[in-house]
Amino acid sequence: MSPTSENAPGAASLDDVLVGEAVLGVYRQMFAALARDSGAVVDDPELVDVAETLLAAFADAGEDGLSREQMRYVCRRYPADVFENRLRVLKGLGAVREVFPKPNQLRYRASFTSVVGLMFVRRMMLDGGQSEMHRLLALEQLNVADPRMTAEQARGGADGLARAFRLWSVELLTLTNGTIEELREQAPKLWGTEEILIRAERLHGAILRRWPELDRTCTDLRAAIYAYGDASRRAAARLSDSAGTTRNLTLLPPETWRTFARTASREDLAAVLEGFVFDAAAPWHEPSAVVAAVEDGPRATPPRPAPPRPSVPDPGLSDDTGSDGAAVERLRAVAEQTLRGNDRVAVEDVLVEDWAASRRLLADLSSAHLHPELPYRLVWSDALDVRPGGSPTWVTPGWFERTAP
Amino acid sequence: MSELFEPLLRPYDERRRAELVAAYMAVEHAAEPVSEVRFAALREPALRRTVEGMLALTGRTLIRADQTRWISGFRDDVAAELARDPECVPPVRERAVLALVLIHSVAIPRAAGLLADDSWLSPYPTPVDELRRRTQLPVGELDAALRRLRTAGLVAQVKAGADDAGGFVPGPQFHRLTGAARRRLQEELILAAGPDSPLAAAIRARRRGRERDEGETA
Amino acid sequence: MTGGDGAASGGVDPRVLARARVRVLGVPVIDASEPVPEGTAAAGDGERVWLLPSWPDGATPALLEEYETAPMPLDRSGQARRVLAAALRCCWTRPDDAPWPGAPAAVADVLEVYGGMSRGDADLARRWATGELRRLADTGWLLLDEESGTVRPGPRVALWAEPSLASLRDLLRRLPEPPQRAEGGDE
Repeated sequence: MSPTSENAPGAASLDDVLVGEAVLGVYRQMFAALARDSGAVVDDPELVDVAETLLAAFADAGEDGLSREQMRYVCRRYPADVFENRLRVLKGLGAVREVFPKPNQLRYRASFTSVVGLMFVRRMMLDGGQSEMHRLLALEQLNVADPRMTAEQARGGADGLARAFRLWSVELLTLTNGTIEELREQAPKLWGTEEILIRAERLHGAILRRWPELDRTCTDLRAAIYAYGDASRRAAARLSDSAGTTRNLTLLPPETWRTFARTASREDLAAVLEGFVFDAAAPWHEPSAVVAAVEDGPRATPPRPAPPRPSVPDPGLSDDTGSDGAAVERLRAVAEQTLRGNDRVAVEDVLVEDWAASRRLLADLSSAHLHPELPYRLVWSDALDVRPGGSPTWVTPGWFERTAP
Repeated sequence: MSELFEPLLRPYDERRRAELVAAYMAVEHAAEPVSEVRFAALREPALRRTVEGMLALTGRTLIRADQTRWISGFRDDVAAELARDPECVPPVRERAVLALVLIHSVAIPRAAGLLADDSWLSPYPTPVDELRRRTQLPVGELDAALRRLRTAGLVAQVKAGADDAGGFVPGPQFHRLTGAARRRLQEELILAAGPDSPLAAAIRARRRGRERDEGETA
Repeated sequence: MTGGDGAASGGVDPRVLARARVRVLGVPVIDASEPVPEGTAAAGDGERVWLLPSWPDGATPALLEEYETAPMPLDRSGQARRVLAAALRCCWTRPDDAPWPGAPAAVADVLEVYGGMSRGDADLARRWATGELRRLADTGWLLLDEESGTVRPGPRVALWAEPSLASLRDLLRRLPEPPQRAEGGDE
């Protein structure tokens, strides 16, 4: 945040101690909402919800604050022990204070800092600090333009930013060297958009122009910005190199996709598929399928015939093939016709017609062979016979036979 | 008629020849990748090579789905060459609608962690209302575009069920994109929707690098 | 990854590219004076030539059915095929010849025949059939001239193998006859 405390070197004076106490007080209040007890952070998000509910009620209550009963009432959906625990911790850390507007009247007020702290925490949880960094950079930019700003304050601000960027880089680099899944999940919260980097550089330039004597600090800041940019790019490169053809879509948040879909021009949308070619629609209508369509058509259905079907897609083949049972029966018929009462026939003897017919027959015989319910088998030898005048000139000896039932 | 394939098919006996033809026709015309369990010419690597050779004659290639299923699609070099011809690229209005379906049915569910498979097909329909009311598309051209996309197998309609409204999902043609084409589609979407993201920067940097490499070797 | 096979990058064989283009465009049309790219099938009507895919050993996508494999989904395929049958009834005028190139017929006649094949709300059937005619024209199964209100067989029917046509010929003979038109209907 904006420049606040400077640590004066030298022995600790009473003032220092008081300042230190004040800083600790701010810390305690900031994180009171997250505290499980005065010593540790919460381990259940519901505890934070209680705090938030209370703070919202305090905001509505105005300067009168709330009585204990009123607090309990707004938190009525939480168990009593949870409420008691929260109140104790919030009081202990100074987020909620007791006041006595009149003798014998106990009321409570909430601290402004706790609310700010909670807002900050919520933002951090949402985007891992992206927007916080934007805010920080914007604030510092304002501070740099403020005539009251001192060089020392500017140095403090720049140092803080440099530290933040460095810590961010370290975390990103650690992730980049870890598993791809974790990187994919965490990176979008950590890496910097080009906008953040540009803002940071602009701030760096502004500090350096106003206080040229801060060049060392500024060099440091710039190095940290570059390191952060580099870490972001490395994480992105590892992800874009990673296997997968849609997995990286997860790296933009749903809101970004939705915004693009709703606001992009027709041309921008179409540009996504520039350079892609697809097959033309080429449905096939075999003559026999045309015949079947007419013969099975709605013509035959009595008085009020089916109206043209609504515009929902046909379920694929349903118009073209019969049920599975019909298919099995057809295969059985083909097989029996081929065997003509024998238990075994040479394949070359049944392949006498033209190519297309032979191929169809072969396909049927091998379907019969593969069908678990049908008692037929197709057996091939490895030899090769030449049949000079025949339609297939090369024939592999093979038999189509009945298997034991 | 089959002159084109004759040099590749001539060495085979009639059984293998029939298997090759069946596998070729199946990968070229099936809606979904076909299982090699059903097609010997896809199962046996040597025959599969011949199928690949047959496909190459028309600028196609085999695309493997899962471990044991296959379908065909345009080779990347052929697709790139065809795409230079404006006649071969779908018109702007159809591409725009298709991009929207990809965003709503694939990108958003994926970003929300709902999609498990790494595929451009999706069970999450893009509601027609979203396409009709919440885009910058000129009104009046949506229905015609959807009809044509559907006929071409680029989108498929999902019927409205008991509690969902139905809509459109990417169609079976998306099985036919090569791995490289799928990756490029992902990149184009990211570049379009998040041009400021580090990922877009990485994609641009890599493309610049590739162009430079190609410039040097040319 | 894909796209290996020895071809240097940027050096796609122009014949391969021409065949790939057919797949992207559906049934592209060229002038009859232009050469047909090697390795594509073609159907011409004297003035123009439509380029078609070339498939090995007389196979067609109907092969998928034999392997219980679903083809690309097609909405209302039954209706599309019935409208195609109605159209062929009118413009495949000499059933002993090949269906391609056939002869132009009035769209009105096709709708009439289709109306005779289906029952129910005639106006509705007509509207659906009109949409279906457009879809069939978009995919190369019919050539539709909306200005003159005529329709012809599309180049894709040239991919039908002669031996597969017997039952279709038989069916068309059984369909209602197109109305006799004094004014000629086509032209």
